[in-house]
Amino acid sequence: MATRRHILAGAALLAPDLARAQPAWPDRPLRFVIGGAAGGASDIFLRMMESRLREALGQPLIIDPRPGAGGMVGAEVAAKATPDGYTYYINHIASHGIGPTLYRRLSFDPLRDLPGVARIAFLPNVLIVKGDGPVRSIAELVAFARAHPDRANFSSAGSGTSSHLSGVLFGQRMGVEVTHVPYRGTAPSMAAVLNGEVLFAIDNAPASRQQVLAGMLRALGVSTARRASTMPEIPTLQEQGVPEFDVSSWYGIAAPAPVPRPVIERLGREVVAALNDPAVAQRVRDFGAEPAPLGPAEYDAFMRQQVATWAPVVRASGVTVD
Amino acid sequence: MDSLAGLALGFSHALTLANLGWALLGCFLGTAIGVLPGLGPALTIALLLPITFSVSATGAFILFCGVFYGAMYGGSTTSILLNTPGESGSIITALEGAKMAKSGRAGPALATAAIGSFVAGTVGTLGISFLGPIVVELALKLGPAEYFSLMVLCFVTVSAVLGSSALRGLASLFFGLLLGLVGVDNQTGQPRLTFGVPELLDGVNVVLVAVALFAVGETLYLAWRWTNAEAVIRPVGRLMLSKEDWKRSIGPWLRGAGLGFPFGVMPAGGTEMPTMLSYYAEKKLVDPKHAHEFGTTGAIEGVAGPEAANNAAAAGVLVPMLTLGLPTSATAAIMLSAFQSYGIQPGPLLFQTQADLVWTLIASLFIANVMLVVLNLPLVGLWVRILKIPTPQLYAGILVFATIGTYGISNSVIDLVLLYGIGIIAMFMRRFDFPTAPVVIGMILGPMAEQALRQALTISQGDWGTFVTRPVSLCILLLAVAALAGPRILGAWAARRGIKAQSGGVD
Repeated sequence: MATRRHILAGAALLAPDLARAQPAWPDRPLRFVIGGAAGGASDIFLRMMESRLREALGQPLIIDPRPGAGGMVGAEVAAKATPDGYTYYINHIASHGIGPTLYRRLSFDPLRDLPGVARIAFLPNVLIVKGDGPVRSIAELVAFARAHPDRANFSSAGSGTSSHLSGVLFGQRMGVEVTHVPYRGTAPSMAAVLNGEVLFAIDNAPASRQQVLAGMLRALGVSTARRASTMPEIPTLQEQGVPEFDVSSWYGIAAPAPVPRPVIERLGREVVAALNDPAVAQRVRDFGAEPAPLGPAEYDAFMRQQVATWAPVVRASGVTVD
Repeated sequence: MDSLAGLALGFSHALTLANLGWALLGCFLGTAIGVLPGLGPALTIALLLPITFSVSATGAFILFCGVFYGAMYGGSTTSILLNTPGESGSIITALEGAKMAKSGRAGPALATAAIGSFVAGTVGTLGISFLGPIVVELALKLGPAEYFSLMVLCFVTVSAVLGSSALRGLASLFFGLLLGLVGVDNQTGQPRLTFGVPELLDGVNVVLVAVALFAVGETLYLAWRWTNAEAVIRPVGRLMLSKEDWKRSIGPWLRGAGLGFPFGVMPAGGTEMPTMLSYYAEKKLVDPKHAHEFGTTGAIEGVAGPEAANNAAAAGVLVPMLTLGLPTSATAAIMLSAFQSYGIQPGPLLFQTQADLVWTLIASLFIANVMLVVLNLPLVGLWVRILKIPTPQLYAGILVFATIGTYGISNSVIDLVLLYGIGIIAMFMRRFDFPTAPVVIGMILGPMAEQALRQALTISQGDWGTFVTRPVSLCILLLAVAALAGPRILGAWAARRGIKAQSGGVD
């Protein structure tokens, strides 16, 4: 009968709809929350990988800057976002290495609520002094600090940043008392070293690279255990007699905890693949960082180990944020 | 390459049709962004960064320069028309500008702001071309002690806006200081006055407070007190500057530009301090027959000076970035990362290694400047028509505009709560005749002064004498004392001479 045939035809037309019940991930653009201002290192790393990831995943990446509180405002936004696999957080040492010990009253636990997806890169810190200043080597720096304790100060990008705690660690390891002078951000901190207000700073290597090349600043050593491939002529601090000094800023991607594991694994694989691409790796190196891809499980383990390393330094520095 | 040759080269690159098109686009975008209270040039340039993948370096940087300067122009437009400052540098412009708009002089106010911005932009860009390296070397010699002394000088400028009652003015100032304290303390990492709210950890946005105090407060106050049933339409007078206005504005333009540029170059300077100093200077230097206009009908000097200072400072901010690779503001930092997108690393050698690009950038700053004044002056007539809207609708529109601008950018309910909370406080402040300008000054200067003070003391190991033993700091402090005590001493001296002359005459 005509009516039954029409009903059957109608049902047949609905069938493709039923077949489409499980959309493949991703079918919308991915949102990456950044804990810093737009244009900062987190933003830059993501943009370096953007074209490769877009090819691999078929969706564009959107950046959502939420600066504040050393990255914790952004982390909170990401941790509380809907865990549908479309929101991620570019995490770093401040949010997942130092943050958990430093911030004592967070409404979330970074390690538990924002597990890792992939590590992106290491950004070494470098110890800089004024180019035409009184010290030319680590040994001279320590001797100067001991002889002139009122001028043994170092600048940092802010309380609780890796530049602050690197300086504290340096003082601890060398047994010399150094005074911390915090500034707001790496640029004012470098300006303070440039005009001789402070003796030294241990801050982002790329930020001071040009000034070092021009001779206005002198780089006495890199903070990592191995020399940086981008600046092989600068010895490590460990080589020059600073015991057990292996500090570098690291960046990676984290996801809200309830995101399905297969999604995290897939994104992690793509990010690692992007970083292994020579073109992307070269862009990272040009920026002054060292590509260091790690998958989700290994990244989690790395972050836990970082928290354990930094906890005693944070406690010794006496800085806390309630 | 010497500066003139460089400029010639830069202009030859920048004056192509395609590049002029980029400049036009940038100017439009920039003006639109300057008008909105929430969005700033830094965020906009950051959002535009992806185009660096497909556009040549020259075109992209010309676009960014247009946005950068355009935002400065746009910020003053809403400051004057709607008492809603779009940028922190336009807050002081709102003081006199909005008063001028109310008394029917919106046209001259906008015109003087536009032309003043042009003059200052030109002075600033000339400064970048010829004076950059020298000024930056001098600026680097300033340490926290000098910055603190500069803040003390700026605090003196508060006396210009205290109004009739010093007590109320100071109460406003301390309220501003209180608002400035909210956030994480830089020295110790301790959150202050955040009440456990994470969004407050980075402090309260000063533009938000200015909008709340000026626009929202005024709107709520009118809604409360205005029982008049009829809708009053504001008078709209001349559109352009009269000869008198020109004569009155030229001095402030040049003084403002001269004041603004060095502050922009200083690493911790910024654009707000020179606007305050310019306002103070203009108030003190104004011709006595116009002095009564300050704070009542709006004095044109009070718009010309601060606007020029604002624009020159914005230009100055680029100097440390181009000559040293040191970004000193959010916008400069974004420009830096734009350079890095092209594989260029700004540093002390940028002028040598990338002479082409740098000079094209400077040439495009000039071009953006000219384009903006050519675009904005004819638009004055159009903007001024906004004031023809009857008051109730106009203020309702301002309220909606302020709310959307605030929430649309930050997506934070806390910001809205703050906007209306402070707006209600401002409403009561107007009722009881508390001036609102000191709140903003306190909010801007307080945290900066505190930080400079503590940094200076940490470096000097707790020695308070550092502020007077360092020569530059001492000079600035003496200047502040002179600015505070000077007018009073001069006044007393003149009065004594007057009495002597009188008694001499009687004899």
